[in-house]
Amino acid sequence: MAEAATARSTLRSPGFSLVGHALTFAVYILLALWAAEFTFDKPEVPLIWPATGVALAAIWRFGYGVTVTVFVASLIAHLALDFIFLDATLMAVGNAASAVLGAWLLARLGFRGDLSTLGDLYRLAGVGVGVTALFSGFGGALVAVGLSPDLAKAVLLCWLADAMGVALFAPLFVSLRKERFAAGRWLAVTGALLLVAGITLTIYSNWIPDQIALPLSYAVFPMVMLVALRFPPWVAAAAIMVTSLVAVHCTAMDKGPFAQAGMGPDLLSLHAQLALLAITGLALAALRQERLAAEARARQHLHTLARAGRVNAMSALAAGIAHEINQPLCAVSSYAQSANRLLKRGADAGELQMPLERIVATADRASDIVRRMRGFLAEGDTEDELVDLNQPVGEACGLMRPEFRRREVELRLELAPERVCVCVEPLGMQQVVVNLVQNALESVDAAGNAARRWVSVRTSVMPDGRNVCLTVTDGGPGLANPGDEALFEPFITTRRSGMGLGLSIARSIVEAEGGRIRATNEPGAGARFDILLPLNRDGCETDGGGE
Amino acid sequence: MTEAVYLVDDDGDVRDAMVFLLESEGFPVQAFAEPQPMLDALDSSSRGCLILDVRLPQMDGLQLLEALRERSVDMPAIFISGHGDIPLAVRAVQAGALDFLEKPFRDEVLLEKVSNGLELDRHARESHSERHAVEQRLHELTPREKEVMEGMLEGKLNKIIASDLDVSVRTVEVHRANVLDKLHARNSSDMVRMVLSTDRYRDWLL
Repeated sequence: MAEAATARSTLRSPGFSLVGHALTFAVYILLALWAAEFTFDKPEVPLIWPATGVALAAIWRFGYGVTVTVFVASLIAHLALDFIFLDATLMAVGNAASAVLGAWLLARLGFRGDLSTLGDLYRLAGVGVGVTALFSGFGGALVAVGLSPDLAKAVLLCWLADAMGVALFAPLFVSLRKERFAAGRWLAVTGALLLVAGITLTIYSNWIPDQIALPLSYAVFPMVMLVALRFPPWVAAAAIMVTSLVAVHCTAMDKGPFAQAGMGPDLLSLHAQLALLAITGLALAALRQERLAAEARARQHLHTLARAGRVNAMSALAAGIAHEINQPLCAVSSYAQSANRLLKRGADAGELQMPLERIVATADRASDIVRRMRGFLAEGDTEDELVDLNQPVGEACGLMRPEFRRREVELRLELAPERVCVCVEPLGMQQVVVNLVQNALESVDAAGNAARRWVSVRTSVMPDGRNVCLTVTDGGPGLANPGDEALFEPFITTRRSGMGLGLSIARSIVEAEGGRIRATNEPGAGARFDILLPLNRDGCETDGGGE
Repeated sequence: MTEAVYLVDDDGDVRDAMVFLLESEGFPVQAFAEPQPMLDALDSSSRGCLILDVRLPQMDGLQLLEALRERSVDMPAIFISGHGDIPLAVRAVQAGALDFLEKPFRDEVLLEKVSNGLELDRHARESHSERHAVEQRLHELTPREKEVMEGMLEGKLNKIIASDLDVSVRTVEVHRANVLDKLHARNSSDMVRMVLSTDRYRDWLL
């Protein structure tokens, strides 16, 4: 995925980048010479001018220093196109100035360049078409035809040519970035672009009769849309540029469905289709990106909420854990003092071995508790891992055990004898268990029935062999409304100290892992919560789990 | 039965550490992980000192002490707690605990408390056996001698006792000498102290 660039209000100044200058110069000259082939008869102005898009994108990307390169490239291109030196200079000044103005505006407007939001797209379209293309087109027309009756028409045509240059070429050059795709994905990107080029070439190369080729020209739309829905925006922009290059070139060569009434009118009607294609493709890509970002935000929020829930849960466990740490501390202190006494009494080194060994083992026990606690309070990985469900469940129960001891409630743990592999976020799973077990403990403790002071936690493989079941049952009074979905709604609680988030967070986590959670009452006991998670058979087999 | 420190704590590490400390100081220790085995192991003849963890499985330390007292296990008890909550400490001392220590504790404090506890127990045993002996000797007194002795306890003069019992002063003097002799008392005030220490005569003057 494309990394989200941070918004900024000033243009970056990356220092002198030879690559940036060289690339700008080469692409500018190349596209200028290519486009110069396609000029209107009268007034003699180009029908598409990609150089404007290139100049805008280059200055925005590589900084104001590139303006000079743009000016030089434009000057050379125009001289090569047989402009007199004065006209070529004026043209170059116009091109460079309009691009600088556009880049400055983009930076001021907080343009991010990755085209990952509709807002970004609006900024590029507004500034590129409305400012840069307009200025550049006006300047170009003025130089080409001077103050003549043709000026209005020339301005319109030049603006159109520049606008198309911006719309079809600038998106790729601003949004192109390094991607960490897997090889397969690179292959898919390349294949998609080649396919788009191939289809466009087929449609525009006179192999197909015009009556079929014209409606067929719309086949590019679903292709580009598909690319926009599958890949980052720059790939969609690349597909649009590729198809445009082929279509424009063929049409100008008097080939394809649009080649009917001479180069001028033909290209203008092609422009309309390409502009629509660009809008559709880029808007779709931006929307996809926005959706991905929204999903990531939702995950992040769940994550933050979950962490707050863990801190909250931990505060409820603090008294028990403090006791649990104090015990080994007491033992360590006792052994150390004994050893000291022995030493003072002149005991030999051998006698000190046993207390010292016990000090080490006992200190390990204390640090184990601290490790478990810190693990539970960690920020946590957002990545799913293939884990044996017994592991996070055992860890969570280890965390809860001191509190059970403190309140004199029995915690029964029955783990499945085999490895039960699931693909989950281990910390999230641990939290689910802590939340459920804590609820159970509270309800058992509040009920005050001395004979039923127990909570049971079980993991097992379902008879269908496809799911793993995690069950938390308690000896409390049970749920008032077992099937009630409101149980899992946030801020609904029967406990005075609770926030009512425990079950809500648990359900969010379970459902994010593709699992289900169900609340019932167990006959002869209290409440029963079942969590079903898809069993990952491969994980069990590859890890050599004993079944 | 020999003297020992009887220790109960459900935490293995703490228990082992305390056993190590006490044994390295030469105290004989018998340690328990749960209250019930301790209840089974001790009776009124057990001697020494108790170290009880406040929080135990099945019953807490205070309940355990009550159960022990019901079985006439009257050794001094030291409570230890990892929680250090004041109400528990107060209740423990009210219930007759010798002291209350918070984990982790200084070894010299624990050792001192244990020594105190053992010393107290020893004293209690000695005075108990002395009382026991006096009570035995009291049984040897004739009814008349007993009457004379009770008069002496009330601080009556010989002639008052004589008139109360309607005998001669000379007879009272003979009985008096016999009482002191039978009770192995050096003089009458020694006799009064001895007799008043027995269960039977403890409340005689009240």
